[in-house]
Amino acid sequence: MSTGPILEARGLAKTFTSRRSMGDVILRRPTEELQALEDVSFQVVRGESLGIVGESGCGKSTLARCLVGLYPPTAGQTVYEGRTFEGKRSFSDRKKIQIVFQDPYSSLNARMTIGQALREVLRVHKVVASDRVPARAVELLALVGLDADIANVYPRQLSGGQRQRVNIARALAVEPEVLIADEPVSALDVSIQATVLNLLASLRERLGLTLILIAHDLSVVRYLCDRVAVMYMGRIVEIAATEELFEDPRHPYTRALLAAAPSLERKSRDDARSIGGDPPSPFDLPEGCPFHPRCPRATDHCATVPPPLEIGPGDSVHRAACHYAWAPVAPHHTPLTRGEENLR
Amino acid sequence: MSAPVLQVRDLWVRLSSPRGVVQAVRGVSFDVEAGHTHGIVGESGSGKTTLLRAILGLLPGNATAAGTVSVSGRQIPLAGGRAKAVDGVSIVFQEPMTALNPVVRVGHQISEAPRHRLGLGRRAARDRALELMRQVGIPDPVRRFDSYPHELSGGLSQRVLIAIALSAEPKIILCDEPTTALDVTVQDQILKLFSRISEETGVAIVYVTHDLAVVAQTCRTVSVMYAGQFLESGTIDAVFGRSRHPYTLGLLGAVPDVSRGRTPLVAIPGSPPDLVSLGEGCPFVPRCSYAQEECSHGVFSLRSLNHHQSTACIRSDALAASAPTAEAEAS
Repeated sequence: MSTGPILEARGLAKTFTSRRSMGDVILRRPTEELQALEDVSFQVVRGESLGIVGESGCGKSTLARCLVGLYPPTAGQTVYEGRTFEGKRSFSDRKKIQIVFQDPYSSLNARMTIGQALREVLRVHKVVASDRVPARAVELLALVGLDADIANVYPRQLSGGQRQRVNIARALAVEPEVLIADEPVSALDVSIQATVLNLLASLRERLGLTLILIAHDLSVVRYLCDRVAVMYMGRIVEIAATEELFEDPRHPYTRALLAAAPSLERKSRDDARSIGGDPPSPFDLPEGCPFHPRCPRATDHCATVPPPLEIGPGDSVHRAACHYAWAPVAPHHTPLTRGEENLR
Repeated sequence: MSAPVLQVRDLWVRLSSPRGVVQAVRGVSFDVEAGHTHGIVGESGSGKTTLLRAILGLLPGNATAAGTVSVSGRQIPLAGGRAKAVDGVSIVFQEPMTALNPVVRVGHQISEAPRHRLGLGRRAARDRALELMRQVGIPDPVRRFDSYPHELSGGLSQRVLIAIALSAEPKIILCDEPTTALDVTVQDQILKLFSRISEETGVAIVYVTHDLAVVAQTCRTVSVMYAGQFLESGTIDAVFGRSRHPYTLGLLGAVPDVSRGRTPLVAIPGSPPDLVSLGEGCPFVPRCSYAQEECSHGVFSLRSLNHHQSTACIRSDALAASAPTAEAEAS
């Protein structure tokens, strides 16, 4: 087995084009392009858990779908154990990376019992000999902490937490190496979230799974992940070991996210770091650094030159895409002159 | 101490449904003073939204209610017949995009209440709307006045809704998960806006959410709702720091927190009860690790422990003795 990364994203980009109405065609309006992902690169080593956080529309779900192969990327590759996935993935390649979706209510077929849903996967992918299929389905349920009789019920008879366990069991049925969980607990009640988070943690340990956890909730990522990537407007703006990212964030957007996240234990609010405004429209991204219109440190330089994702000094893990990520004091550039969009 | 602007006393709401009678609110009592923000934390199906609708006077036709709700000392009709919104109470809903009328310019939606409820003229109502838009931090209000809701972002739409809530000069604003649909950075802006508004205008806010951390940062007092009743009530410090109810303790141990590293999460076993088939006794018994025989009988309502806190748990003394972690955190 190679010691290299199990999964690597190399310059992944994904552009969606808006649908044009007849009127648009007649009036020759140009097609609008939405850059959902731009030049996203990272590596994940076997057994690691990587968290990907960001606000809605930052491209985190698009990234998950590109990695699983649900969307073909516009540019760049997904590399699995040194092998580049190109075009349509083969049957066996698809098994390697599996995904658990956010909404446990719509991601199960309402007309199939849980047992049927699991057995279908096992049969189609010939995971076990056909006479072993029913027994394996029960084993999978046990793996995620559900009773065997759950196999005979329909999804509507289950609670959200139980359905999410079934979704995890179904993803694990093909024995994947990498499990991508896209907002696995955000649709669940607070008292149920912990059971699913703990299940993911224990599965990772027991099966040696590599986990990519996509979440908008920083606390969930802090709880489960070894490393965290922060995304903004289709780009990774910062990536670092979890504790380092939370204790010593370098990108102003990461700082703002952390300052904005409500906490039970932090009483005083870190007002200096919080930001105003809304994320820009993905159809109309600003020039230069995409964060500069909301950034408290932005200078004229930021408005023109997009910052690369740079490695910090003397450190090979912490990267940040900010011109001033490691600048000790206020930059010597002139502060950006700004318009009316400064909200309180 | 001023007189409470909102007073809820022993409120019961039952909803008839094809499956049977849903006991959505069971004997809830609380007060909110002017300028204060009271949080109500509960999971989905705990009855929080029905409670808000009762206070708003907008219970659905299949509801029967008992108890009293008074706004500024005046008792309001609870249910029955045609629903009629109560003067002095406004609400901010969870989904800013669906709560606005998509075919009416936002300025007109904001000036509607000043025109029709406060009786202002067209010009005066427009000025009032612009002033409200400025107050809730909408940039360039004159231009935004003529925008349609689809032209606004989620955060701006929520600001518009807050402006509408403020437009009829309410005494109380009810907030039903107003930031759940928003991104964290925008949520942060809206939460700050709420605290500024309550400081500036002295309006009382009832803030309903499932998010403990949001409550901890916006409210002075909190009630924990479960199966239609309040299980614990008190100041934030008391309830979250020295909780005297196993459900609150369970919730606190079950949610990850950004400021905390990897302390293991302890899930609450089981799932919330069905409000159709509630029996007697404490509703949390099937999931409670402290439950004893006595917990399955009788009626459980809040009893005061001290000036800052009340709990519905009859074993709160045993709980206090065996919950050293919460105590240690508080000290």
